[in-house]
Amino acid sequence: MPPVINKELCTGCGTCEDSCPLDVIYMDDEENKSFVKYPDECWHCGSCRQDCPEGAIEIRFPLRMIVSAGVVPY
Amino acid sequence: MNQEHLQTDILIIGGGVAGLNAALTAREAGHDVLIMDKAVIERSGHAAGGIDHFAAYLETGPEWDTRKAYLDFTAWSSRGVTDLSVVEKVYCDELPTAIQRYEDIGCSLRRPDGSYFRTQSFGQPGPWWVNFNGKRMKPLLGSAIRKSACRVLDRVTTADLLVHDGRVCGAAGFHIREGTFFVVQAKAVLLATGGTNRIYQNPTGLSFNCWMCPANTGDGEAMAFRAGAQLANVEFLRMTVVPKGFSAPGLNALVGMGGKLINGMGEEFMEHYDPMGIKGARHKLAHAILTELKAHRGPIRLDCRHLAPDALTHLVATLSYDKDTLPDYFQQKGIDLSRDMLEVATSEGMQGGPTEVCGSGIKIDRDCATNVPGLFAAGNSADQCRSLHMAVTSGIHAGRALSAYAARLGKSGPPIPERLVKEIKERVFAPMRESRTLSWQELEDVLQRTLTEGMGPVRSEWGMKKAWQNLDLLDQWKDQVGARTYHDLCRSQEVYNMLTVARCMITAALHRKESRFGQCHYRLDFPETDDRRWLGQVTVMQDAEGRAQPVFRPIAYE
Repeated sequence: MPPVINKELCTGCGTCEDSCPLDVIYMDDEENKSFVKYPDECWHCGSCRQDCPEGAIEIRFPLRMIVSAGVVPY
Repeated sequence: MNQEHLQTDILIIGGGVAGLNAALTAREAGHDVLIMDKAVIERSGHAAGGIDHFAAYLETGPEWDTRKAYLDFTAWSSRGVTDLSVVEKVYCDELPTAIQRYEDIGCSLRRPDGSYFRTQSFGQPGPWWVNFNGKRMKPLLGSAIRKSACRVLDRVTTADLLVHDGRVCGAAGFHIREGTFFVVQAKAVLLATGGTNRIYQNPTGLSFNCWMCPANTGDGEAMAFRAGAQLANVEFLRMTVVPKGFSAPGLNALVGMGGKLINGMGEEFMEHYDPMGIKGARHKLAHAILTELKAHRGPIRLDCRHLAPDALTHLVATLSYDKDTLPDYFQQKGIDLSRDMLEVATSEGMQGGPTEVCGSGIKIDRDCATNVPGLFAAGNSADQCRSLHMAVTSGIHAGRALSAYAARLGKSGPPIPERLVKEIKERVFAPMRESRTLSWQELEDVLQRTLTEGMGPVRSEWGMKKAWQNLDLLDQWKDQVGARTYHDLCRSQEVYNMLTVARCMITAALHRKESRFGQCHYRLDFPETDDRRWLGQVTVMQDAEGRAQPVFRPIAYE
């Protein structure tokens, strides 16, 4: 889950939902917090974290990107 | 679902850097402007999270800092497929306005002390890259747009252009959350949707881990093609060098600062490949690293440990301008550039121009116009434009051209072709029918593997023909793609557009029976560059049966 949303800090303002260029973040209307609906479609651009007024977003890279291994596909 | 009809003078499809700059210029000319973007314009497109380098000659005195030097470099580095008469108008002539535009929106290219910080890389004769903090460039552009009374349809992806009697008269699209179908009538239309990404396999297996914006999937190129426009330079494969595991930009800064590239055996291998070494052309860098990796001489590492601490601090700070999360990545990997080497590798493939100063995509003339009346293109969507500097200037230039065209049309543009609108709507929402069970991800995955196998850095007629046959099969399967949400419907449309662009890419690559720009287009069966026969562009256009047909158009150079 590349953006990790801290539910205690999140006020449900919806800014991150608008910031995401890939439509990955949605509001959960019951909890009134945002959540990452499409984690596989995250581009790791950091726009959500930059724009969050509460500092509630951290970026956490998936294992495949941190421990890089593999051959070139050619 | 709901349907809405809107009317405007100028329709901008794609609210990225080029599109928003075109919109501002067209508003300055007093026209009604409507922008459609599949995200929210303050953070949409490639510059969403920030960007940090803008190429400009500033005429400060030395020979390299001149218009002539820039054009000479363009002609030399992109020989055969760049048209200097277009570059002069869509870049050089608009450069002063572009620099001023940055000041106007409150995102100065200068440092706080008023000076420019300039770096050199990729074989250029001098430090043309102005390094600046562009983390808020997009929000500032967006803010200027909101103040200018442009109308903006955020989260509305465009499905197709409307054409009446051979003239483009608008477009249709849908809201990616609510599904509202929008029909927009316009006198002039600009396609500014970026290049085509997610079209090759990603080395990590994560399709959206792209060097450029994964929302840019060749939508504009595909729509232009369907409307009868020519595409050009689409045979060229773009590949770059990235931290292994994260397809992040920032290479500019790393090479500009003096980092060294070392293979697994400890050699600084670049000298074997290019006299300019690490400061040479990007595609040569990518080719060298790919060759080393395939020969099992990896891992390839970038060594910045010898750089002065101040330089390194500056380096890491500016890396976050171009990719906000790159410092987090280093931290989570446990990499400290003053102490550790950084493993690098080649990126995923992309459909893009061969150099930083020459693009690929929709063919434009000196006025950013395509061969279809009423249709224009700018930014990475356009064949002659590449990188931030040309996105800004071509956007401005297109804004002027769209304005002039709309003014000449007078009171109203052509009428809406109702039957075409019905056909588009039917096609767009078809994946939401109950009976469909294939996911867009499956289609995308097989398309990526197909192009990676047959349209990669080493090509041949037999390999490309197999890829073509695969596309024929995928065309049969694509009508089985189902979508349960409008988000997935948008993704389905993206993959369909990638399929269209892939067809055009293979058509062009088969037609160019030579090799050019290293592994941007390297053919085993025609390994030499042949300027006698192939100094020019391969353009691709739809015939009466809807098939992609190539035409070679020579370009003269001094």
